[in-house]
Amino acid sequence: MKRQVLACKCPCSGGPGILELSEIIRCSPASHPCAPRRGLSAHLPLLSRLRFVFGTSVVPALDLVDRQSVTRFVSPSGRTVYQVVGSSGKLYTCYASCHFCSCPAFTFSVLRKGDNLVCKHLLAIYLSRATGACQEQSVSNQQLTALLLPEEK
Amino acid sequence: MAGAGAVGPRPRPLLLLGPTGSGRSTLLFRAALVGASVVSSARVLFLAPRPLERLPGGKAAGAGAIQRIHFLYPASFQELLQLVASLHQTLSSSSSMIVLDGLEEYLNNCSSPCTAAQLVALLLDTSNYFSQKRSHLSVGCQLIVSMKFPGEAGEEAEHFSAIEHYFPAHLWLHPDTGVDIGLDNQGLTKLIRAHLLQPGTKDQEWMVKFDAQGSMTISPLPCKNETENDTVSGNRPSVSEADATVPSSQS
Ligand SMILES: [Zn+2]
Repeated sequence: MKRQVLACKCPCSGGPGILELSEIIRCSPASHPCAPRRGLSAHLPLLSRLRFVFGTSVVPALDLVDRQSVTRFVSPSGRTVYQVVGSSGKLYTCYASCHFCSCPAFTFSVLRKGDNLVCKHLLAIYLSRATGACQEQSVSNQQLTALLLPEEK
Repeated sequence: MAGAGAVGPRPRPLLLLGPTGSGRSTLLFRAALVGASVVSSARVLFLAPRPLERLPGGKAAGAGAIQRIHFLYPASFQELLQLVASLHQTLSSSSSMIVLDGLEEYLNNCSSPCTAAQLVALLLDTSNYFSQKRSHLSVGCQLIVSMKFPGEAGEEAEHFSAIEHYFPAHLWLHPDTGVDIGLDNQGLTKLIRAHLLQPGTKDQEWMVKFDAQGSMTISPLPCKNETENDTVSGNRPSVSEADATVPSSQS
């Protein structure tokens, strides 16, 4: 199930917004658009490569991708922001152009300890964009502003 | 990262750090002036907890340039967040520079390192948004933030470690006695050594002089580990642009 998404859609079909990190994904020959469509096994090197770079976040992130948990919000001003539904159903806000996620793991293991590059939600955004599994939703400028702000406590 | 598409050049975000009285606000204002004078399409957003006591170097500044600086004074951390998040709605023209003075004051009433990081990430995301909007122009939107040198431990240090990674370039200001560089100390009120650190490039240093009248002069210092001293005049991009152009506009 997990690998199905990657197997169906080549990362290069992600459109113009392909991300820097996804270069890592693209480096894998199996994921190159010019490569003839091969079976699931062709993507195994890709998965191990992802796991090597991103560690244990990879499988949970692929789960999020499979569940179509990533939504990209766009407003008429052109401003964008991402929201990811976490495995517990909680919504996390992630900024579009720099690494930030409102989840606790981002604060602890990315910001504080620095032992991870991204949390599973940010990784899920990269993977969703790369595989075309990202939901798109238009909102008003005002709604987008509200999405950018931390939740009221 | 995501959704970037074709993006104009993105200048590196710069964090300006120094102890109390090291001339952070003055330098920041000068950087804003330089940023506002580069091209006629320049629009600088200057955010600070309160207005500057006086506009330093005001007499030397082009009146045109200062009109391209938009000053806003959000009173609290919450107000600042709200203001930055709504810039895409409220600003009619895209900023070419966002300057924030006194970040430490805002972080004083910020609840956690995570919210501190969110503010800085939001500033960065906003400047990237403006860079994208300005992609038809030759320069993107530069972010410069000033902050008082944080303490070694406690909440300040925690907040600092959560935000510093967002800035690839750090400019440290060190008040200097001036003795070791053999300058005539008469009439000088203050000497500051400015040290620019950005990974992948050679460190650079400048000496900032404030005379008794409060006017500022900036001169490059020769590199410590290299003998060549042509490091400043070259065409270096982004962050350092403001610093590099300042010496020519001394008052
Ligand atoms: Zn997260």
